[in-house]
Amino acid sequence: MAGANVVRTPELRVSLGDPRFVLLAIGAVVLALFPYFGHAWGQTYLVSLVAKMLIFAIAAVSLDLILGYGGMVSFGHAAYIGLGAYAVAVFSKYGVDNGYLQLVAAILGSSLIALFIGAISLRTSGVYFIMITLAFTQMLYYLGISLEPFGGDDGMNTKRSDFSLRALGLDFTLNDNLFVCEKRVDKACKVDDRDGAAIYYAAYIALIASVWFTRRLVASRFGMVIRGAMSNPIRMQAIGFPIYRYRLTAFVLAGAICGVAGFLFANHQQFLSPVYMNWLRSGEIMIMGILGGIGTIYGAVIGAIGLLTVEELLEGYVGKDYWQMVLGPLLVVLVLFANRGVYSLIPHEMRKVPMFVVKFALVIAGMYGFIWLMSKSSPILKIAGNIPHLPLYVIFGSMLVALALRFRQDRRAGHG
Amino acid sequence: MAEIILGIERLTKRFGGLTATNDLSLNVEKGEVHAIIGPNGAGKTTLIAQLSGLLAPDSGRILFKGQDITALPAHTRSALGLARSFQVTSIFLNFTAEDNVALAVQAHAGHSFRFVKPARAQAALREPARQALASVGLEHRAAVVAADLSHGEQRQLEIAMAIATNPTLLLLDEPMAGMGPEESTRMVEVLKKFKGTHTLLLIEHDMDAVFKLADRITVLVYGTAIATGTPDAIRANPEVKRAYLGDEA
Repeated sequence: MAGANVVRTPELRVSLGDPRFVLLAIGAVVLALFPYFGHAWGQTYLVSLVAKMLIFAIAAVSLDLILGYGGMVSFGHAAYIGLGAYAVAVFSKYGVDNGYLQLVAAILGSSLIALFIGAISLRTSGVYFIMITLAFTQMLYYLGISLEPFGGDDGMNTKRSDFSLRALGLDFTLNDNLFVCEKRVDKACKVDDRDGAAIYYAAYIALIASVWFTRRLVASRFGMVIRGAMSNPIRMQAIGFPIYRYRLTAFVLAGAICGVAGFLFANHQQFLSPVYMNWLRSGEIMIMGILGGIGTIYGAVIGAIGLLTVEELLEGYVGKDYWQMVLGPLLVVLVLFANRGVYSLIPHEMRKVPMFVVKFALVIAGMYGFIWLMSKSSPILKIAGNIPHLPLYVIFGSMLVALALRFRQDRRAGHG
Repeated sequence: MAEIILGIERLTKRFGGLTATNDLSLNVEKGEVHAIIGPNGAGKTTLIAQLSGLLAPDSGRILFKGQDITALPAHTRSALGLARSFQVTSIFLNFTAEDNVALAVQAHAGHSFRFVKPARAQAALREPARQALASVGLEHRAAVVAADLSHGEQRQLEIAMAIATNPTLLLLDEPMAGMGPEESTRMVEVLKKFKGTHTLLLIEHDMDAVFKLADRITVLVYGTAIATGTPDAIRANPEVKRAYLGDEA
C-alpha cells in the first residue's frame, strides 16, 4: 500500500486560530455585507452576479456531498437545478405564486426524480455511473425542450415567488423591496433593481444552511457510512452495511438541496429555460467542486465563486461566442496544478499565510494576464469559434480531461 | 457431539470448466478453531467468498446456526453473526484505526439513518471500538490513519474490525498473508486469545501457525475435502502427505 499518498478527508472542524477559519469567517462577513456596498456604489449587476454565484455554490455543495463523501461522480446534477426551476414555472404559469408551496414542490420534485435516477444508476459504478446520470439529465433536458406549454426550447418568463405572510395577517413581503436601500435617499437607490437584495439574501441564507447541514451530515453516523462505502464498498458489506440504501438516500438528499438552488435560480433569473439542465451546466457544477476541492464542502463554495468569476471575465474580455475555448484549457491547467483544490492549498498555520497570499495573488495575476492575452488574440479565436460547435467540443473535451486527471490521481492513491 | 455452527452441504461452484468447489461438505463446531489448508488453487478463497455471501454457489447449501443462509446477501449474514477478514487487507485507508473499528461497531448498532449527531463523539461506538483494538493489541495506534499503519498492524486491524461486530463465527482468510516471522508470531498470539470465546474458520498457508492454532484441520484439494481431523491425524495421513505436505511443506 502506498500509504503516503492516501487521500485524507480534511477535518471540517477548524479551530479559531486556523487561517482557514479566519478566511471563511471573513468571506462570510464580506458576502453578508456585499449587497449593501454593491447598491451604495451602484453596482447592482455585481450584486446579482454574486447572488448567482451563491446559488451555484449551493448546487456545488450538494454535489460535493455525494461526490466528495460518497464517491458518486454524478454528471447530471443540473437536472435538479432544472427541476427546481420548473417547480417555480409550472406553479406561476397557473397563477400560484405562493413561494412556500413552490419551494416544497421543488424539493419534493427533485427528491422524487433523484430517487428514480439514483435507484437505477447506483446499481452501476465508475464510468457507467457517470454516463447514466448524464443520460438521464439529457433526457430531462430534451423533455424540457419539447414541453411547449412551458416555452419549449425558448423557455418562459416566471414571476418571483411570493413569500408574503398576508394570509396570517402580517403585511410583510419578502420579495418586495426588503433592502435597506429603499429608505435611503441618495442616488444609488434610484437603480431599478432594488429587490435584487432579497434574492441575494435568500441565496445567502440557503447557502449557509446547506453548508451547515452538509457538514453535520458527513460527520454523523450516516455520513460515516457513505464515506466508508466510498473508501471500501466490499468491506462495508462484509461488516454488515446494506450500502445501496444509504448511498441512495445521500443521492436523494443531494438532489433535494440542489432543487432548492434551482428554485432560487428561477427566482434570480425570473426566467425558465431547459438549458438549465444542459450537460454543460452539470459539468460546470462538477468543475466548481474540483477547483475548490472535493470532499471539503467549503471548497465547493470557493470553486463556485471562482469559476463563475473566471467565466464572467472571459465572457467580457474574450467574447460571448468563444470564451469556452479559453476556459477549457484553463480548467485543465488548473486541475493539473491544484489537483486537490484551492481549499486544500490554504495553510493551516498563520505564519504561512503571507506567503500563501503572495502566491495566490501571483496566480490570479497570471490568470488575468492570460485572459488579457487571449482577448488580444481574439481574431484567431474568432475564426476557430466560427467552426460550428467547436467551443462546445473544446469545453466538453476539457471537462472530461479534467475529470480523468482528477480521478486518476485518486485511484493511484488507493482511494477509489 | 458439539453444536454445529456452520454446516456446508454438498457445495459446488464452477467457473467455466474449472470446478473451484466440488461437492464439498464440512461442519464447523462451536468454539473450535477449524483450519482449512490446501495447495494454491484448491478453492479456499472461493469457499470463503461463498460463505460470506460475495459469491453465489451453483448448488448445495450453507447452514449457519441451523438457518439456511445460501441465498442471503453479505450484509445480512454479517448481521446474523458471521464476520470475515480479507486475504488482501481490506480496511478504510483514509480513516483512523479507531474510525475503522467504530464503523464495524456501528454496523451492528441499529440502522445508520442518523443524520445530525457527530459519530466520532459517540461513546456507544467508540468504547467497544477501543476494546476491540485493545484485544488485538492496537490500542496505542487508535488515532493513526490506517494507511500509516505497518502491514502487520493493518492485518491486526482487520481482525479487530471483524471482532467488533460480535460475531459467532469468524472467517479468517489468510490472516498471516505477507507477514514476516515476527509479525506472524504476534498474530498467532492475538488469535489464540479468541480461542474458546469465538469460533474460528481459518484459511492459512503458514503451516506452523495452523498447527499451533487449529483444533481440527480440513485439507482441500481441487475443491474437495480429502481429509478432516486433528493436527496430529492430519500430519499422519498418508494421502495428505502426498497431496500437500510432501510437496510444499
